[in-house]
Amino acid sequence: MHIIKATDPIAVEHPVFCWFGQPGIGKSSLGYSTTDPLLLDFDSGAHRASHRRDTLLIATWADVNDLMASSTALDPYRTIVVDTVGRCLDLLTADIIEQSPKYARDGNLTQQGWGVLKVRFRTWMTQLRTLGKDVALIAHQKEDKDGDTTIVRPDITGGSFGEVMKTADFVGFVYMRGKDRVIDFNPTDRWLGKNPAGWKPLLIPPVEKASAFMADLFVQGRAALGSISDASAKVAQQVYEWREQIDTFTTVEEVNRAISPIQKLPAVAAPQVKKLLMDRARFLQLLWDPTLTRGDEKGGFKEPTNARPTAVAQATA
Amino acid sequence: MRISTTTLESFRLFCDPEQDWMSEADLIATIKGEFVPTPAVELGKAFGLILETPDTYRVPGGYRCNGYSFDDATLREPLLRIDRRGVFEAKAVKAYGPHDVVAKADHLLGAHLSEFKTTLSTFNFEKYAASCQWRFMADLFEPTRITYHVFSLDDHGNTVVTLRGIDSFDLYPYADLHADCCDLVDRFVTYVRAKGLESVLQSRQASATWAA
Repeated sequence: MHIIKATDPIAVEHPVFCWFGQPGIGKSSLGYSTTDPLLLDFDSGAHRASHRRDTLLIATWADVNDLMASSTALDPYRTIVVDTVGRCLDLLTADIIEQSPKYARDGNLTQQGWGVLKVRFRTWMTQLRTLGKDVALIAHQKEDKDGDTTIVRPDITGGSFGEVMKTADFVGFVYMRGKDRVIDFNPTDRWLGKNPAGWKPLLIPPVEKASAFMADLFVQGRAALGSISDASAKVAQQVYEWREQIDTFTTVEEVNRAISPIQKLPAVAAPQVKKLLMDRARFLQLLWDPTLTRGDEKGGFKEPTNARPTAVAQATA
Repeated sequence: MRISTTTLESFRLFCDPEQDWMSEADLIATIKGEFVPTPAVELGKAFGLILETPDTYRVPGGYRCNGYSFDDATLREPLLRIDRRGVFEAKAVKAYGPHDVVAKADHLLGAHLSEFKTTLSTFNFEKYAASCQWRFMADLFEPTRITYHVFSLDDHGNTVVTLRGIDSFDLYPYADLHADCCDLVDRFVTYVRAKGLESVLQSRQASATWAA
């Protein structure tokens, strides 16, 4: 049994990428640029893609069940590309209705049916990651008007849209900038994005030179998620050490002496340590006095004038 | 001026042409600190208090806070999602030019910030992804990751609350984050000045101290 401490980093072994864009922009070709991909062709569009690699045509959800039931079919592949995830969810919906008509009304899923769809999709994603596969979810784009602004989002129906956005670690929009293809993982007021790696908009090389483009991004993305976890673990350790120290404070001088060093801590650590110090000050029944001075700085804690009658009594006895 | 992220989110919603539930009267009440919380907001507060210090609100068979009752089954999974080694309700302040923006994070563990949200309707990812709240949280606290835990509740028209589902997802800082925050603060300040409301927010800045 290996317990991961709060101060230990947790590696994300198999990130989920999602990218979306208009038809014909080369989304499937990007899918083929992942490491050892198997593209699940849910909307019969793979034949148009350049540099096509192994592909499984999916006509019904039974094809997915057959794939997952096979003990060896997925072995040669490192990345499972779902093309498109919108159509994938349509087929999963049809399967749910076929299996359990009670989950449908007028051809659409009931609220319980949506719940089943979310659970089954999530379970499938988990299953793929457990098998050691990276996952790429491809979606067409859909445009909606928000006042004068056109918002571009992945074309995924209803409540399952949120499920895909929850599942994906990275979400990027593929678009044309002049003659260049660009993938941007940054959210803007025009499109959704998720960018744990902090990438700037990335120029996609011409198809013949992009055969490992997404494979490289998966590697970088995995490293970025790992470093996020590592950075967080270091901050957790820093806060933990402060907590241990603050818990030993018994005097107003100790509490006041800690204020300046806390102000110099990194932005993410300072509020946490400050909260711990405030809680300690409250426990010691100290009061904040904005007129006190600490060196060049104003404000500090003081003891209430009528506090600690026991201590006063002992001193005068 | 001293501006809360809640106020900025109210302003962003008011400016959104697609929504019609944040009226100007509600926005101004929020700016003045006179907004009367709705029952849904009160329920969210009660739920948040229990998540922070469950033992305080323990009653036989469940939890009770501010008039709302939750059974054990309702709180079991939400409480499991929270690492109690973290720090709750930490506050941060950041200067945007002459103005201070202030935010309180529901939970921080290391560089991981978590926000707890409740809703009585269905989960809507875009509602949270579009909000400026997480952007300011990211800009003020500089976490490496922000996780939203959205608890879908049912109050059954009374004060006995059950859990319908939990949706958790991560959001991350991005390149133009600070610029987006600065832009919203600028637009808000212009609005506040046009409405002659700056004195309320100025007096809050004048009375602010390190401890508050």
